[in-house]
Amino acid sequence: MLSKQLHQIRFNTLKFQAIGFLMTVLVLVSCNKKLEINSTHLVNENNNWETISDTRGALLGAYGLLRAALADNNAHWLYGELRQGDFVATTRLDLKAVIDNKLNAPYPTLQSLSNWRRFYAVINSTSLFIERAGEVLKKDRQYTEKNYKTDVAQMRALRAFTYFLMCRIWGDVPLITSSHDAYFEKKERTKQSIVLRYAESELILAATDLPYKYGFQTDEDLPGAYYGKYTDGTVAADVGYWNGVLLTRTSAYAILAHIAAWDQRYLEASTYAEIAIRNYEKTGASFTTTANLTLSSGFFYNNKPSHLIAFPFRWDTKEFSQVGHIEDLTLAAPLITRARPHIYVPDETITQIFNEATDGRFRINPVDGKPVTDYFTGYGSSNTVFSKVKCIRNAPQTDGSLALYTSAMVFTRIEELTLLYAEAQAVLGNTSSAIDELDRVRFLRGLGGYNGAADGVIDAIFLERRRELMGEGWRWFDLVRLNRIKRKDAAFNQLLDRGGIYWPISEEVLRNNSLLVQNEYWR
Amino acid sequence: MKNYFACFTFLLFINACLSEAVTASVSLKNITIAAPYQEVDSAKSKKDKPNENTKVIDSVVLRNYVSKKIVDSINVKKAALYPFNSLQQALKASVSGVFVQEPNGEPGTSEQGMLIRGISRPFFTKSDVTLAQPAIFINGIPLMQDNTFSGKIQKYDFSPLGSATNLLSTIDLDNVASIHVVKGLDAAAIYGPRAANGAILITTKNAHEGKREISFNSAYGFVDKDMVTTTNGVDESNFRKIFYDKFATAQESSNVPGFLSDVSNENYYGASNWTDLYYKRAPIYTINGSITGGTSRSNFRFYGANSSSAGNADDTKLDKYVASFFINMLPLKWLTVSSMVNATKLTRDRNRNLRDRFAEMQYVPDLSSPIAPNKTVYSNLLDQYENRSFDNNSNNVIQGSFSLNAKVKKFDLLSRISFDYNENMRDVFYNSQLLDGNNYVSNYFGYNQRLNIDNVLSYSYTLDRRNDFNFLVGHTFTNDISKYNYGQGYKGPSDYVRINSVVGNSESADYLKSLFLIVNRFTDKQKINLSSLYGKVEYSYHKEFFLNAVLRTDGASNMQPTNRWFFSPIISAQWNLERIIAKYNLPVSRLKVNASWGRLGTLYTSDRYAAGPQYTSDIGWSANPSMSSYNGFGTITRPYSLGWVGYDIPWAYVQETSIGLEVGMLKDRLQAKIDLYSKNNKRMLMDVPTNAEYGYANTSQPGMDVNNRGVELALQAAILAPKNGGITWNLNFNVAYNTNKLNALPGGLNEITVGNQKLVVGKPIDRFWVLQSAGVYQRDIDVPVNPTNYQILNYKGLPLLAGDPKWKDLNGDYIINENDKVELGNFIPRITGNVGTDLTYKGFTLDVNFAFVGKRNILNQAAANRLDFAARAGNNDINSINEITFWQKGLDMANYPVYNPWSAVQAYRTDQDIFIENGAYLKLRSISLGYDITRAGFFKKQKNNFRRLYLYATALNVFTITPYTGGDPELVNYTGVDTGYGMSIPKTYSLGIKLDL
Repeated sequence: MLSKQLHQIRFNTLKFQAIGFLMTVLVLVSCNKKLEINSTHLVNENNNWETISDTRGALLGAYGLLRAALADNNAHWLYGELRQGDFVATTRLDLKAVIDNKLNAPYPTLQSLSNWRRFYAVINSTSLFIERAGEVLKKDRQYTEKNYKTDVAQMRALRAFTYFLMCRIWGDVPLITSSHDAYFEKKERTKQSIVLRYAESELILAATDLPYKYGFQTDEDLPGAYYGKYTDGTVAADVGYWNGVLLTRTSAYAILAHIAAWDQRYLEASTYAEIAIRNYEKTGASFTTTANLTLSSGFFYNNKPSHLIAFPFRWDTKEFSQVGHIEDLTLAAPLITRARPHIYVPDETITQIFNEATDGRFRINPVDGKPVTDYFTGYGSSNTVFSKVKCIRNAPQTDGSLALYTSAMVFTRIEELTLLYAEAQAVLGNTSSAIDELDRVRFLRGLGGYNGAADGVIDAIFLERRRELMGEGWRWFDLVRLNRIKRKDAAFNQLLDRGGIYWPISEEVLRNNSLLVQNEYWR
Repeated sequence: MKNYFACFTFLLFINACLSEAVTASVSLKNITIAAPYQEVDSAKSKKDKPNENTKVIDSVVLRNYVSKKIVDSINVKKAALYPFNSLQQALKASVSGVFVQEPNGEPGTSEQGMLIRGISRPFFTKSDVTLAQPAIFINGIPLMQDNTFSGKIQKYDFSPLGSATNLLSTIDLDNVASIHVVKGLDAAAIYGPRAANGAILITTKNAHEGKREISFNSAYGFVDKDMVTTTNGVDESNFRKIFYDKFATAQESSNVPGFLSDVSNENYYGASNWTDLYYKRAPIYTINGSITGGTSRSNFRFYGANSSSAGNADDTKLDKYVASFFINMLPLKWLTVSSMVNATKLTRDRNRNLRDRFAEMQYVPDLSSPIAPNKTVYSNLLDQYENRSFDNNSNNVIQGSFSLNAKVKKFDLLSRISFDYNENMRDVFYNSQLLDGNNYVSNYFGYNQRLNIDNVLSYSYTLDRRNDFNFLVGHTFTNDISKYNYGQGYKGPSDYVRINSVVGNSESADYLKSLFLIVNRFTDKQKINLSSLYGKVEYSYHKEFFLNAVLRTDGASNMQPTNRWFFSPIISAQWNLERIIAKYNLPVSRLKVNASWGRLGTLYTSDRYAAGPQYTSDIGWSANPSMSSYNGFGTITRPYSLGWVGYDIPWAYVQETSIGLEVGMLKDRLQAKIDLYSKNNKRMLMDVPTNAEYGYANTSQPGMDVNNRGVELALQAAILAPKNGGITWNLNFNVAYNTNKLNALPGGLNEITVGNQKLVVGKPIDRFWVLQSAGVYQRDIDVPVNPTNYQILNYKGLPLLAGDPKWKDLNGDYIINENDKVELGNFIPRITGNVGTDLTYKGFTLDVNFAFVGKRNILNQAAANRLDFAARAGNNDINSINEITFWQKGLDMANYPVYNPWSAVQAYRTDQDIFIENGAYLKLRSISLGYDITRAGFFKKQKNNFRRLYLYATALNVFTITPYTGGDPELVNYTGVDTGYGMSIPKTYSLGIKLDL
């Protein structure tokens, strides 16, 4: 009797305990708070633009976007080097189409290259930075006014540079100068001259705030570490850190010179180029010897102060890649395992261009008739490889079995700027000054001074560019400028007059913005 | 964390309960332990009329208003005879309205999918396919599938990172009591948003009381090899000669690829006997056993299994090990405690495709020469794979649950904690000989973890003899975590160092530096919580009219705070016309009508929408998608290539209306079930291509609306009824018709083109859009010229020439472009079904099942690739790889026109009608013959304890009839493209025994 009662009590207690507990569990988990989870692989609007590391990430992100735009499908060279240039394609039909100026051929590479989205991502991110970096200035005391000003100037310069690159490729492009978050208004194409004028004004504005170099203790404009890194060796491991990876005041003037030259305003071009070449040493840049230019651990390897405008693919930061380098197009056996390159310069072209007996880049030894060259490998075999740039992984090793490259994508160096200045002088009629500048480069490469006719200076300058800058993405744009000056080639004039020098705008871009009109030549 | 703590306390409490229970001497007689997640129908009540109104509280079991009698469930007993290696295979051709895609016969590959009632969204990427998959529940535990978020660091998405194993390969049919397929929202409602694309409910065999039962099953068999005709350099040269003779310029003629230019090259021009090493007959087996026993107060079941499936090519294989344990206890009269653990290990031998290897390495070497078709050369390559490299793939999967079911008077409370945890491992080492002297190592570890807490309370209430109510309220909280670590190492110090190790000597300057020259490491994690509160009312009138309503609200952490919760109502009704039949003496034995209407929110697997406008690192390019730093610093940008995400993204949902009819005639010997449905997936997010001038590739916008309509018919006929000793013959026939339509695009757009796919409002979303070709231009002057401006007919600006296709210029503008494309065919079949029949005579059973698919098309890219050799050879990208299977005959040139393969217009582009083929087929899917020895006279005379001793033989995929010219029409990817990479779904034969003691 008693036991039964006891049992009854225990039974009931248990029952309530059980039910009570189950209900507790139920309540515990039904909180709405459990549904607030911040994703680990993205940053939302509330958590960005808070600290100095946000501006660093955003600033370098904008550079990274432009690097991506120019690296994708080796765009930098497909835009600049291949069209009607010295290179010939072996088997790739898409490259053949670019060389033959059949830019509307329906290859995926060409469709991707005619899409300007990646460039506008740079425009958008730079505009966003300019709009938002001020928030960090208010919130984070580590982010100094000086740092902020420099960063904004870089973003202005980078945006202007991107517009210039786009104008060279497509001609008229929509000019958009703010981020337009969430409201992506469709815009028409803006006249190229207006876009270039805008870029020019932005660069002039930026130049005053841009330093000549970053991360130097004793620098006048921006003393001390830049984002925690010293370039000057204050921290031994970081020596050279910011060399040739950010836009400097020299870079700004280099771009200005190119904008003006592209716009055929050679007087301004000359002025800007002069400022750049009078100050390049402040950036730490110098002229490069032929040997150093072509060494695998030389000029193109990693980042260098002489890279006046360049994008790094450094080995020590693990930013090397397969695509995004001229090597991906030009190298082949015996340097790497690939049997044949995608593009090569035929031997006849080589001898035709390098036609002087003392050229350090390429010459035929009159004694044995053999080539002496750092530019090419296997000349005279059926497989001549353009090997001026050959930074395979970590220099100085040269094992080519794993084709990953570390060469920087160099837009301009002092030799290029010198020749641009020479070009401007020549067009302006200052022939002797032009020859002086031209000779500066010629002497460097083992050639004597220019002794041809005065009216041949322009051709000589462009020939020098053709040899010196081979494989650096200039040939096509040089051809455009040369033909604009000369207007002697009827077929080319046709391209100039009908907009055939520009790339077509991709179908996809046109489809998504009804206000855009295809370039006349490609309609 | 709090949750886990709560669970832990909870478990402690239960232990206390149990010890209490031992002292409490409550005697129970004749109480069947209804484990809360056990199926209530099926075998146990064969004689009983199906219990039409079970009162078991359960968020898992199909509710009583869904008839389980003839459709929407598969005959597991029958299916368990066959050596199916995944749930998808078991479901293929068995339930009307379920379409199983098996684009690859490689055992265990993750490239398998299921679509219930059509395609709910356009398939642009693999993650769209993932979003369209049904949910799988094992004993009520929603299984977690591999997350696709690691895809964004991949350059090529042929297969996901890691083992890329189909997690549904873990389902072991000998361990399963029933499989039900939930197609409509009426049944899906209770399972919530995960079941918005339908659900597959798997109930394992469970512990039950009774005398000890032992079962033992075993089967052995083999997959048969395919017969192919091999080719060598001669055949390839002859094939190409047609083109060279006709179109090649001097430059092209001089550029004949190296492997074909030298006819004295033994490797390419000699014997083509690689097939001996590639296609092989391979053994398969399965062996498993279970033991069940216990009393009415506590009982258990243990199951253990091992099986091995094989592909018939490239030495592919899948091994599976299963151990399951189930326990039920009735510590108190009103309390049932059930617990289960189900653990599976899968290991997989994967294919040795070059493509998949290079994709894993994210590196494409020089590809100008394919592998030689010669056995000696090929065996050297295989030797490198087999003996000097490794590729280990395994998955461990474990599900478990612990539940309490308290029944007090008319209240019934169920509380359960359950989890599903799966981990995915791949360790790769490629010998340096496989890639120009560079070895490669990679290690992947990923896991997905789901924790569920369910609480359900129900109360049944009988108003009077006619009116019955049942009320139910429940809450489910789910916490999902996915994480992975992935590391790659290139160029190790030697082929003997096969792990990505670091320098261990702390004295060394390189201490802790990797031994591999180049090392990449990736890691990512994602967490998503889901909270659901639901209520249900069931009402039955006179047990002939049933009305059910479910109201639920679901909140997901990956939805934006302003739109976190979604409310879904679903109502359904069923009317059993039994009394009407009797009253009016209708010539039918059974008649039921049902109807339902409802909506249910759908979930995203990604967590990127919750944040709205956001930042990430997006500075990669197409060849380097994972690049995230610039000059050594991490970067942060808007997600330009992924696309813009704005605010105010509402829940997407599915809304469905359906009506159904069940008829039984001739004393139910002929049964039919017809369902009609119209299902709208509304407000779906879509990546809408946007104007490029802000840098974004697209913007994620809600508002896509896709309708699927269809009718499903299931017929079952007992042609010869069971008589004592006589023959029984049953026939079942399932057929489903499904068609889809795009009702709306975001932002009121009327059409959208994404890649090769085009979506037009009012049209189906699975169409091919192609150019129509009508022969070839023989001479340049045959190409028409626009009389108004004298412009030659051109393809997107490139004038057509001799050797180019005569594409139809539909709009007459003398430009062939996207506007001249027509819609042709569809890649999701409109008609799917099967015809099955079984014959039994005495102890013999013969079972045959045919699968068929109709009104469906295939894009034969494999053929296009062969014809497009010129462009592919030049590209040297991953799509221009010729595998060893390149050396087999696979193309009849008579079916294709001869175009100029070097033409810049890409004459053999895949978006033209010559590559679209009819993909219908009829396949003898399965056949089995068995005999139950316990039925034999001699056996009966002996006294023994055998309940069943069944011997059987089976064959799978015996033959296929199809107009498709490219081989098996099943080997087609999710957008209907036959890439040529689908490994054959082999003919499989097995002999087996099933023994029940």
